[in-house]
Amino acid sequence: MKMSKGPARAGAATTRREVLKGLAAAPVIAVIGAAPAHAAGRTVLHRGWVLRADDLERLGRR
Amino acid sequence: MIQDAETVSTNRFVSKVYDVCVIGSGPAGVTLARRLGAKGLSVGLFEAGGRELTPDSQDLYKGENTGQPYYALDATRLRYFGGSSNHWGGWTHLLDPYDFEPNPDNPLSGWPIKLDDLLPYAAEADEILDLPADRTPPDIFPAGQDELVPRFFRFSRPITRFGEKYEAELRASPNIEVFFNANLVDLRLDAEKHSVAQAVFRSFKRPDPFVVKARAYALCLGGLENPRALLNMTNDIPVGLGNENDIVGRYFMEHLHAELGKVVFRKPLDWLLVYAPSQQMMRDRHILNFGMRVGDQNQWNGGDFTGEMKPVPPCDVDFDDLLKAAIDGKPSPCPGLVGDAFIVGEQQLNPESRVMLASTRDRFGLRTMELKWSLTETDFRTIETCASETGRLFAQYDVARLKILDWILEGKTPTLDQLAGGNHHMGTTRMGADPKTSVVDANVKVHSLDNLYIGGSSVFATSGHANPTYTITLLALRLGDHLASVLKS
Repeated sequence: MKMSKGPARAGAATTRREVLKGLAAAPVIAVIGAAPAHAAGRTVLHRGWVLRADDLERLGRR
Repeated sequence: MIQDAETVSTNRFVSKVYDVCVIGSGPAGVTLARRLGAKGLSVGLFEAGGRELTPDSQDLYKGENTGQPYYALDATRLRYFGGSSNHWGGWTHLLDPYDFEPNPDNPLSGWPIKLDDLLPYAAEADEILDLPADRTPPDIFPAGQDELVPRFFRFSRPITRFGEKYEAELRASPNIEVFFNANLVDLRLDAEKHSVAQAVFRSFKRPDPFVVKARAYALCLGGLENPRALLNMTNDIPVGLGNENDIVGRYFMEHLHAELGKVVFRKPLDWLLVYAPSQQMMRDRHILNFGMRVGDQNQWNGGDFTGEMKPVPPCDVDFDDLLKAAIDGKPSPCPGLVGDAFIVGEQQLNPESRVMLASTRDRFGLRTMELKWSLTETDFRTIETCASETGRLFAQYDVARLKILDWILEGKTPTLDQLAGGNHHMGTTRMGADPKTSVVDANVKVHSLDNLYIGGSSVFATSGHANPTYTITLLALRLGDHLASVLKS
């Protein structure tokens, strides 16, 4: 399919993107959301995967 | 009756005045014509192409993309009987009630109508589109989770191809006359320039144009071609019909289709669920609406996909083993529990995202199209937030785990393979109360003309995330009732 090239992604980085970039650059784990009271555990970013903190603990033992 | 403009005697049009001249035979045009015909009004339905796809007709859709990478303009729509319903995938979804309300993060948003104005037509739209009954989504999240709202898609089964499905009915209709190969080349106004007096058509082979008269006219050419037609009609209004405020063609919206990443589910879920943000989540995160879908990409993209997913085979492997294999990039021991996550996101209203006229001209002398699809930071924020927040909620409630693609995490410029549209062309003659920011009013009548109406997704004031065909059908039925009321009074 013939396509034309458009302009690069416009505009300055948003706060949100800076947060995500920071996550991607983090060595292993970064907290990306505090869990609400009714949800178990915090979420973390690991190699692009959004995991629960206890996921990493369990998987680390395998 | 169905005739061909290549061979029909054009003398028949000399003394004929239709109640409504409907131009375009896609979902909007056919639905509107049928509604008007059923109410006893005389309708001329003019289709630019033929009964089947021809290169001569389809070539007239060629144009130039100068913005965000987009599909070739002669591939993203179809120019023959039934219009783009001929390559419709059958996905339907109702807009959310809050799609009609202003969103502070989408300036100029808000419709002059409400969802309740369209719901009276839902049962008939279901029948037209051969939709199954709606289903109640399962309890995926515990009570109290109020950020993501799961809902089901409904699929047209068999997919409604408006030409195929309604050809026999239109042929037999005493009130509707259909003409193939009738290419609109002009809309001429009356002396006061308040109303359309004539529609001028040309066939492909005959040298002379022919003129059609009606009490009202409805442009149903699609979200790209409706503005192109209006902008090309400069004989009476030099800036183009309805374009006194330079709005025609602006606010072009697509549904942002992007793969978010891989998902590993703890247990099988129905692939036909879509996960949308609550209005509160939209406000809190300063994003627009989205529908996140998860499932088997190969099934979704199969040419014969009609909404029936292959069942997930039983698999009793421990979830941690599934997750570890996925994180390590190894083949899954339970492939049926691994899917692809996609977003279909609402696009922010952007006056620089627009359909314009190019300098080249087509075989009928009309200027061809330049499409400049332009996105904003809010659009990208919606995609990124969709990924991070659905990933978070899936993990926190132990429903699934999501891997977010690198280009999203790193804020890179996406390619067309990573971020595309759904061939949904919306907003280019948008509906609104203010002529300075819209082209048509709440009755989809062009603000500045007394008898020119617009059908199709070009009138959407905002896009939501719902696939547009259902809304197009609802709006066409409503327009039919409005026109019947106006013309009979």
